[in-house]
Amino acid sequence: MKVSKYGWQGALIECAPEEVSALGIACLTSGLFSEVVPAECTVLVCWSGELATSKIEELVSNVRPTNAVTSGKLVEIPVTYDGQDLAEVAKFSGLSESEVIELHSSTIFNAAFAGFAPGFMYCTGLPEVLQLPRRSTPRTLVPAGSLAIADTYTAVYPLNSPGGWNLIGTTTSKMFDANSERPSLLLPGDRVRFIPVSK
Amino acid sequence: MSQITFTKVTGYLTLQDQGRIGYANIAVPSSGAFDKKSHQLANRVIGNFPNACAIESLRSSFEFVSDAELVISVTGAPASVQVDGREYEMSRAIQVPSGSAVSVASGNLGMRTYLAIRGGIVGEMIMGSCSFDELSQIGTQPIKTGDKFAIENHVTGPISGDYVPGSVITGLNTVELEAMPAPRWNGFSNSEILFASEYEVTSSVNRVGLRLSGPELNWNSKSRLASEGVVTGAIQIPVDGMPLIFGPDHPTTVGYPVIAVVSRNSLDILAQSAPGTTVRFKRSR
Repeated sequence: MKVSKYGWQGALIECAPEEVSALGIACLTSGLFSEVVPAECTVLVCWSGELATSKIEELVSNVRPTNAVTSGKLVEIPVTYDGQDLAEVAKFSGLSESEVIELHSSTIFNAAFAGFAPGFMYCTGLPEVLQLPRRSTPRTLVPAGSLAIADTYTAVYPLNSPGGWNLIGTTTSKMFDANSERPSLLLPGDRVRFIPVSK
Repeated sequence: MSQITFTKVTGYLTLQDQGRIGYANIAVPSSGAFDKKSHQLANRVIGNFPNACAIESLRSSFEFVSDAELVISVTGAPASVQVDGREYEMSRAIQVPSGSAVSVASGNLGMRTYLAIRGGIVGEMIMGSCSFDELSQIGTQPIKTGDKFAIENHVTGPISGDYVPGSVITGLNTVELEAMPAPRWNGFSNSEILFASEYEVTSSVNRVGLRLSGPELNWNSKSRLASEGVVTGAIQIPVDGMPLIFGPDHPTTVGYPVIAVVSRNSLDILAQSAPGTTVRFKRSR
């Protein structure tokens, strides 16, 4: 892992994608940082006051990129697999719609990092056969609670927003609630399972 | 608790404190006052905590009345400050009698004026901050005519009464921003151009970021850069090669490379830089 200065009170730590969760959790629990921002293959850390880069390097060197994926808190999200793009996903993957549902709902995903909108969590672990590209023309409005897949990720849109991912279902779970003690249902490092429910 | 009522609001008026810290991991920006120094100064002049909730006015005009005596201070971009029609100086504690009307009208120098009230304005606290975040639309919504706010009684000490000179020089035609190369600096084929050229602030400016125009910066690699966390003050170079400097309401992760980061002091200057301002970057190591 490589630690580079990022402005006066920040550092970017580069790592392998499978190390992000363990590194992010180690940074968060160290108490050294005001912000810890995991991404695809980096973790950004920010602090207030002074902090020597050597302190971060020491912390990083002790991180074992082990099995955050099997140790994170398991969050189960009930989903109706009724997305507008389910048929297209089935066609792309060469599976039937029910096989797509079976495969997606039996996978335990890893909430890897957030971005795009408050509470929008990129979850990794999507089976290869379901790895479709984004839609060529994004939708101008994707309703809050839409379960979607694109590239190597699955995610739930927390708020109404534009979006280019392939929609496969909907959940009534509130993914983001600014007034809640835990504003985002998912945190980086959590494990996620989608439980199929009928309408 | 005393209360103020806005009787006239023309323009973009928000409540800001020093920000919503610790939620970037769930994609919530820090937000908070853009010109942090002027915000803190407004609070300091009247004995408030530095983080107290105050008004950030983007070249707006507004008027409010209070049902009790107040002490206020105004800092940042030059504005006309009147109490019942009488003009007062900025960066000073101003006594406002009960029932009086306070009016603030921005001039055409600088961008953001701050008004603090002794004791602090009670905003809607969302995730530890009253700040309105333009990107996620959370916090105290922008102030409209007719809005009422309670005034708290949280003070650190007496009003100093000292005149504090304005912290940020506003209304300059040319600003120099201190910037430090970011981790992706070496990925540009002509990164040195950043420190050797003049850029101009375009009309595309808000609390999320400021777009500049000038010599194009070229990202070497054709491959997509993985999304990365980004800090306030980061200078991102999108596909068009023109710098975009992120303000307090910036997205927490971005997909285009960041060439450099401007310093906290420079961000305060940037917060006051109007479209058309010439920008030079000075390298810091």
